[in-house]
Amino acid sequence: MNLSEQQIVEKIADILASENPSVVFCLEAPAMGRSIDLAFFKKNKVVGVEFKLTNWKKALTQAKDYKLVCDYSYICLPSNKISDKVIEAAQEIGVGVFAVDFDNSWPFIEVLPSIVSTEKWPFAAKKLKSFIRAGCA
Amino acid sequence: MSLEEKDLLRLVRFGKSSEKEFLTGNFLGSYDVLVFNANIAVHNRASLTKFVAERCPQKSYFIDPLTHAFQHELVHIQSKSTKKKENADVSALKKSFLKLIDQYGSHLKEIVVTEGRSLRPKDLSSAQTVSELTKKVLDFQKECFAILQKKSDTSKYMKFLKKEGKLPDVKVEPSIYIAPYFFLDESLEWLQTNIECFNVAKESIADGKSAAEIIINLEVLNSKTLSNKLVNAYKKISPDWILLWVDDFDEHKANVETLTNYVNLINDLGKIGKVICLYGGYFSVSLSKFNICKNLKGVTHGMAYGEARDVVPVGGGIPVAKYYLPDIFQRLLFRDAVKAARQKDGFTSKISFHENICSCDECLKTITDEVQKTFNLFGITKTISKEGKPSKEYPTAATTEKCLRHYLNSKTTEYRDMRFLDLTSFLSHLKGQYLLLKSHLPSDSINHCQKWHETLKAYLPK
Repeated sequence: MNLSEQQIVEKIADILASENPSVVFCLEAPAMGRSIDLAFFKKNKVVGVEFKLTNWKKALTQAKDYKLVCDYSYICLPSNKISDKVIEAAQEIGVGVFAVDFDNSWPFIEVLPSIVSTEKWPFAAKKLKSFIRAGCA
Repeated sequence: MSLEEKDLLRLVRFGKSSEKEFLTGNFLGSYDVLVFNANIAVHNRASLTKFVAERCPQKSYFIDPLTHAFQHELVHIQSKSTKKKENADVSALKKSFLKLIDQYGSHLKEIVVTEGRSLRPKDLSSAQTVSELTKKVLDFQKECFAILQKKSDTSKYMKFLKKEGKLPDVKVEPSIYIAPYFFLDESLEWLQTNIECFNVAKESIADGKSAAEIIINLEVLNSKTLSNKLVNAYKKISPDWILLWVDDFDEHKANVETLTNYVNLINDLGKIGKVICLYGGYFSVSLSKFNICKNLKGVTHGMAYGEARDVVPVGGGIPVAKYYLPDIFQRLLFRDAVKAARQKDGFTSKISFHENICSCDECLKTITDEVQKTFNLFGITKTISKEGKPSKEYPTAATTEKCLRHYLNSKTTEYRDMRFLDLTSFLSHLKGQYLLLKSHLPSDSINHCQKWHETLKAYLPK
């Protein structure tokens, strides 16, 4: 895959919009000083995803902060960048790991599930929900 | 009014008009000296004259002449809209700096405005040019708030108040006078000019009021050879006050070596004159509090954003509302403040918040039994969406004000109270906070505790 991070996010957004029209999602959702690459509802829970091509450590730092506003928090990497080290580090902080999958209607393969967040700051979490529901506005 | 002989002066740098309300009222008695940047002083002369004369008549102040602004690329003092142009269009210089140039004499104007370039050391190589600039710079500091006072409505009002016995007979003049100064990088090419300007200035400044401002870069700070050269040069001119500013130096980010060199430099300069740090936080304050730097007489901060400052750009910048966590002497992004407060058991109850986080007037007023909900008032943002661009969050005016009041209250406690019995207890506190929070905060928000500990333990009594 020779796409940039931005291109990957846009392609995933296209797949979500076309293949999963019932999924309400938002790109670059502002939350507590972060900008969540992709935030979407799954069974009324908010999932936040941070995309990176290589810098998984930085992705984990950001995804860890998403636990303040999201029920589930993931990093998403190209599958060939997901090593045991990445899984171990993600597991330690309760963040899940997605690999990109453009071949199916759901654009993610869940390599490691996210632990449900017990760290949510309720006021910011509520604000994020409203933002996503309002169509990212 | 002369600067008091206090153990430690709290100086506050005035940034913009909206800050006036935070410098008066309940806060008026909490600081000692107001510092004005010359460009702000000249650009808001009438309103600041009134402000100084009426609302802070007993307050010491001085004006930083900002002469260094004219040695850097002129793009740094251009107005925003013209910064994209390759060559500096002098008409595009910020109005405040054009006004300042008018104050500082024809030679400076000739170079910056007519020739359209920044100053070089050779521009001040003759006695005449040094003398003219120095005289103009000192006159400006003396007259900036005094001249208008004599002619304006403010003077009539002040005369009325004096007649009514409601205003003491106070002259409005700076507490110290700063000679023209220029930024010193590792070449030290401006050192001789600084010395010459000070020598001229000293002849017309009253005893006890002469000040030399020293701005250096990290290379100078971290080089024993260069800093010795610097100290030896200033030793020969004996300023009463030395105002120190280290470019690209942030107490919260510097490593142990740099922090140690900073302490050593303050001590070396302290053997020459009384030292004031122009930008500093609790690390600098602690150097005075624990007698590590005996002649460090003052530390300056701004309105929640002025504990460190780069030399360029000159002025400007957009402050971000953050929550100052008193126990680690650091402003935190709200999300990090939430994490820290959780870890410090700040949210169990109102009492635990005040015991473990903060009990300043602002926090006492804000935090109720709904602790989390009311703490959230320090982090409320509004989301601004522009077409084609990602939405961004900005703190509301109320949030910014709340964070600022809390910050100013916290600083009052730091300067005034002996919170820590001695250096040993302070170091123990730093270590404890680091261990408690290191797994919960980004490293650049907490590592300073460890570095301060490492630096200052060298000064424990043997």
